Amino acid sequence: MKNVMVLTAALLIGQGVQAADIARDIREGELDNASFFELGIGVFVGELPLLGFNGQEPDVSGDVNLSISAGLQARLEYRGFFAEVIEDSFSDITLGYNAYVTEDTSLDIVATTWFQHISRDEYAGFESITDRDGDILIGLRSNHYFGDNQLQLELFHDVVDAHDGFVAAAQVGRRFQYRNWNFHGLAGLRYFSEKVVQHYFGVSEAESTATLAAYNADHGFLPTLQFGGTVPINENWIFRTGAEYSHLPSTVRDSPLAQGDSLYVLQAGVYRVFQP
Amino acid sequence: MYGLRIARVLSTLTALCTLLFVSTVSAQNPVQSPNLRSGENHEGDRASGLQEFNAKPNKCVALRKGQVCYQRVLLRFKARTKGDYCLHVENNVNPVQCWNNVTTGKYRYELESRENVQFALHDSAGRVAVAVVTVAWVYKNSARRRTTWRIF
Repeated sequence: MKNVMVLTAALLIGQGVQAADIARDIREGELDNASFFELGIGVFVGELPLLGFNGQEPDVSGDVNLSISAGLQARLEYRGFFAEVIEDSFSDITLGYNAYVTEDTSLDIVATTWFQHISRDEYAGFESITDRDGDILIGLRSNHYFGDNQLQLELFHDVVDAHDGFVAAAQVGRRFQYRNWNFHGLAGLRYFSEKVVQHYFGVSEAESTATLAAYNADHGFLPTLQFGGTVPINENWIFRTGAEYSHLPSTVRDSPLAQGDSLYVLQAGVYRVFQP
Repeated sequence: MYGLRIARVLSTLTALCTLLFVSTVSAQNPVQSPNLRSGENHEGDRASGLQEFNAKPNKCVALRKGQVCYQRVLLRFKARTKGDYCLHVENNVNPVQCWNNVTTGKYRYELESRENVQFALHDSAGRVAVAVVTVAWVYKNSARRRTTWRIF
C-alpha cells in the first residue's frame, strides 16, 4: 500500500523549496526542487527486540534479522503541500504543508505515523494481549540549517485515539564530503509520553495472566545514533550504506513485551534516482 | 517504524530487479569520442600526425550540484610520428607533463573540480587536440530558499 501511494504520487511532480525529513536532508542534502523518487534494493541486518513489532516473535532476543529487500524513498511537493516516505526516518508516511521557509529555517505542519498496528495474540503466552492500533500524529516539524549542520525538531499528538499521547523529537546532524563520498552523522532524542508507552508496552490487569504480569509504563526517552555514507555510481544511481542504533528507555525495557535493551539496523543498497 | 525498513516486501523483488535492469541499460552514458580536432582548421592540419588523444573516464559524477567532483583521469595520446608534446589543463600556460621525441604518452591526473575540465595537448607549434572531462551530479538542483509565509 505504501509503495502504491508513493508511485502514484511520483506521477504528480511539483516544484517547491522545502526541507524533507532530516534523515534524508542530512544524507543527500536539501534541494531546491525537493520532489524525488528513489527505488532500490538493499541488504538489511537488524535486531528489533519488541514483541509484535515487525512480526517479532517471543524469546528470540539476540536473533539477527537479515533480509534482502526493496528500498524506497520518495517525496512529492505541490504548492507547499508534500508527501514523503523516507527510508531512514522514524516516520512511515508523512503528509504535510510547508508553512514557512527562510534561508536557514523551514516549518512544516505535518500528519504522520510513528507506530503501526501491533498484534501479539498469536504468540504463545501472549494470547491475552489485545491488538494495539497504529497512531496518526499531527503536529509541527521545523528544520534549521547551519552550514553542513542541521537541527530538526518535531512535536506531534495522536489524533485517532490510538494512544492519545504526544511524542517529540530533537535530532541534530552533520554531513561532510570525502572525495565523492558523502558521509553523515545524526544524533537524536525522542520522547514518548506515558500514554504512548502504556499503549504499546503496558499490560493491563485484564490482560495479565499467571505467567504475564500486569505492567504500567511511564514516559520515556529514546536516544538514537545514525551514521551513513552515500556515493554516486553514475548520474542516475547511488550506493547508500548506514547504521542506526537506539537504546530503549527503561520504561520499555522493563515491559514484558520487550525482549532486549536496544535495537539496531545496518543497511547497504543501490538506488535508482528519479527526478523531475 | 523499523518494520518497513527491515522487512521489505520480497514479493516485489522480481519486478524491482526488472526495473533496475531496464534502468541500468537506459542510464548508460554515451561514450564521447575523443575530442581530436583534425582536418577542420590550422590546428587540425598540424594535428594530422596525432592519431588519438582522450581522457578516460570522460565524466566525473558528484552527488549534489555544486560539489567538487573527484576523479582519477587517464589521459593518453598516440601519434604517427615522433614529436615533442606537452599536456596542459584548461588554459594554464604551464604544462602538467611534457614528452620529448615520442609517439605515445599517458598521464594520470587527479581531477578535483566543480566544472568541466578541458585538457589540451600541445606540440612545439601549439595546441593540437583537446579532451574534455564533464562534471555531472546525481541531484541536479542546488539548495535555494526564499523567505516567506505560505497561505496556500
